Amino acid sequence: MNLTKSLTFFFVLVFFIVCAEQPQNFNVVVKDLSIGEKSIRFSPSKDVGVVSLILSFKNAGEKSSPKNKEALVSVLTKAICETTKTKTREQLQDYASEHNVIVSCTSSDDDFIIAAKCPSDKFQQLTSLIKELLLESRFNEKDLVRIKSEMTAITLQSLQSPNAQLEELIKKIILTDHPYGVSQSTYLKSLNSIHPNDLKSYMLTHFSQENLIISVCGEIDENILKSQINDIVQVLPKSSKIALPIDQKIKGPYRTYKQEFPVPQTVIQMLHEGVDINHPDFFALQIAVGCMGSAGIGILWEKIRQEKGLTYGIGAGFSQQDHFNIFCIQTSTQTETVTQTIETIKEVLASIYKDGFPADLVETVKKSFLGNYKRSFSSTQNIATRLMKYQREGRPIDFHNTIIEKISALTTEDVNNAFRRFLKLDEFMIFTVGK
Amino acid sequence: MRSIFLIVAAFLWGSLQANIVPQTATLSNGMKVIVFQNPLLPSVSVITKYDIGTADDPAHLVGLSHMLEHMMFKGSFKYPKGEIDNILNSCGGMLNAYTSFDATMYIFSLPAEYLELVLDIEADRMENLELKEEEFLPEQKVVIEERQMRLGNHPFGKSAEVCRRALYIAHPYGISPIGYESHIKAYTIEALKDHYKKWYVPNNATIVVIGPYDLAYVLPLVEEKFAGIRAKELPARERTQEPDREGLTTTIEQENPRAENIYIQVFYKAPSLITKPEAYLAMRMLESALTGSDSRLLTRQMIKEKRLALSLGCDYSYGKDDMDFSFTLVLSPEMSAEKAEKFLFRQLHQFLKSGLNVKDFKKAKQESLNVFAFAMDGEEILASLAKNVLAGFPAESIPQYKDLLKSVTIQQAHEMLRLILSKPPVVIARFYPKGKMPNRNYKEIPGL
Repeated sequence: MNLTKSLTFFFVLVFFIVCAEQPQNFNVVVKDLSIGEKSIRFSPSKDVGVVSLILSFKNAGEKSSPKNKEALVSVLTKAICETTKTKTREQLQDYASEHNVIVSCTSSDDDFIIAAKCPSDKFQQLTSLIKELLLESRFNEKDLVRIKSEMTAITLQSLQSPNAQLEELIKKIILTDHPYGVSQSTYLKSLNSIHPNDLKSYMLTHFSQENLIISVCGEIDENILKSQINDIVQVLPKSSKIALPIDQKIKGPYRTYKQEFPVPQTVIQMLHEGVDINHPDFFALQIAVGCMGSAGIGILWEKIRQEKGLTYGIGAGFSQQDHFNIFCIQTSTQTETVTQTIETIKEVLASIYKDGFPADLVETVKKSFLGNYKRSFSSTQNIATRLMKYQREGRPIDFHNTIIEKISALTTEDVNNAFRRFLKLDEFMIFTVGK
Repeated sequence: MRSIFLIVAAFLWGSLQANIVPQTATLSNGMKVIVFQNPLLPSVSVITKYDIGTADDPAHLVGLSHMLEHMMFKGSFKYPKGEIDNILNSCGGMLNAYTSFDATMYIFSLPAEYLELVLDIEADRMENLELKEEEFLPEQKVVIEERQMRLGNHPFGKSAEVCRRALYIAHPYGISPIGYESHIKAYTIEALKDHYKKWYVPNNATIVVIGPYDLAYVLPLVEEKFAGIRAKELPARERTQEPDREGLTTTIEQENPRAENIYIQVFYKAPSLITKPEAYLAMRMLESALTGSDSRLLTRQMIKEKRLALSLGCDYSYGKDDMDFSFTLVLSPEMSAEKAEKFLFRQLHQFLKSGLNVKDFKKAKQESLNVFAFAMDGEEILASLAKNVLAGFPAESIPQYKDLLKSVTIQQAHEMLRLILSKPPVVIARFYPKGKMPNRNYKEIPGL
């Protein structure tokens, strides 16, 4: 479960990715290149001399790890780069170094993602390496023992952070028995039951042409791109069989859940049911959370940090996953000021609910999206990531323009009405970890 | 979880394509201007660096430079409180800042057409910052919260502070740039005003612009905004230099209830080489050749073959003054500190005696050169380059950078190893999980 990762994702990237407004001189070309039944979402980029590629296997993320082998996908992200039929890890690294190709494998709760990058003239070497990993990875017990040992150490150490403890508490209370809610102790316990054949079998059943999403940005000839990607696609089975978990909601009881932890500063999260990406108020609510606050802007930032000095950082945001959507306010403060901080946040929420966001703040937040959107198109990897996200959400090819129109058209009234429809002042589950 | 094939040596920077070399100028008031141009960038980053960090703070107010960094967001004559945030948000920009031992940096990042506006803000903040008591008091509390977040809540925050103090018994690098809570509580608005007046002057500042513009475009704008600000004589910096340890090693041992494995850090004293390109690059190459990836001989032996450690890294830290070269190990469960250290030291001596592993050195060099292919993609590599120039790497050596890198020999990297290992470690720190600390009769000491 990557709740913290997801929330961080929101806090950092929502401005850049989810809701963006088009700058006047914004000019990004996006096209779908067809390769048989699949397509590549591609943004050509002149003179940059590199290509960034993202292959995302939808629903092959950590939520799909089998029962009692909950850490399987995490193990796979490491083990897949260890040994292939013809190369040891060292030889794989030598190959990558010689050709200057970079490949990294990561997993979210929902997907398994391969992100890669290379100079334009090394694309064939890059795709050849990826193909080798997908087709010829060889998992052995010796590598796995070391990987598991490293993962155990990292996981145990991470639990010494109050933020990790907070995530555990939330999972325990809200996501019991859900794949998103796997506790670290279950995760660690499951490591022992993961064997090389499990990894191989998982790849065969979860990595297919059907659930593969491909996005590319960079300087490359379209025909070469299509041909090389097609070579990767063809090594995959046609379809996969993935059972999806049920959707989860925040249902209360709406009270404070406290966990003792020996740190001087208490971390706080206030969770409220969120909205999914197709919600009719989705865009208006993105502006609303921007008005609520994150670094340098918003009412919470102003009242809690700037005026009262209660915290170093505070942020509000949405997190959307396939089966769980939340609205969250996160901050941290010293033990003595926890109650004051929570009460002040509640007062701020009530006052926003009553009076709405001021028109100038709404306009500022909208403009903020616009500029951030433009800046976020500064590297091939950022653009490829955005294209992958839009594709995954089933958005049309011109979504990067559509979203701009939608945000631009929003009025203060739209934002305030959407926020009032959405917010239930007494439906927050509050979690604290500290003394 | 993630795995990365090729850990590109992050220390190695910039493209030497003809259009990506820094262009520099100095205004008549002494302010330096450096431009890194990438015509493909849709955005511009403006870094304003003041040559004042916490190592030059008054001894009883360590971290005052950091507090002033916070106050720089509280408004100036032309841009009253909130105005900078409003402007930034209106154009989708970001402003960040950090304070180190040697400098304070402000980094604006925003759409390229806002360059002039940023320069205007920075010029006003350089000359007309408004420091008010009512803004200072809540921000002082925020800094205490920041300290708690960064050090208090971190499992090894306090341990790191103790290590730092042991590394520098006299030099101001011995106290974290955020200061102790007692320092923070001692700050006053008057002290901040005095600090600002002394150090925030053009002849103590450098502006770096990373974006689609060249110096011909940037310089007139910088002159328009900053040339009218008068230079002032800078106060003397009264840093005490660190005395020679004469072979003494401080050993720190702690039973840390928040440690899950045994952590070991070994610190050797290392000279600051950033102003000497050849030596600096040889040192960075040594760093990469030793532990740059898990396929290096040393890491492979310790992690994969002998299973002594779960991770091993080395780090060369440099500043205006000498810092350190350190090794950090996280031991495998059930492994003893003694055994792991013994192996590490034996291997280092072996390298010293027989030379570095040739294959590892070649890999380190190849990886460092590979980075150049990505220089036009975003601003990341240029920003890394700028950071090094701001730390003291001569801007005029950047055009030869790739050649300098290619010319580093294994013998030069080996010389760096010899330099580091010529004296015993300054500090060896061992942090044990609860119940794992070896019995050294410390138990007889009351309190343990």
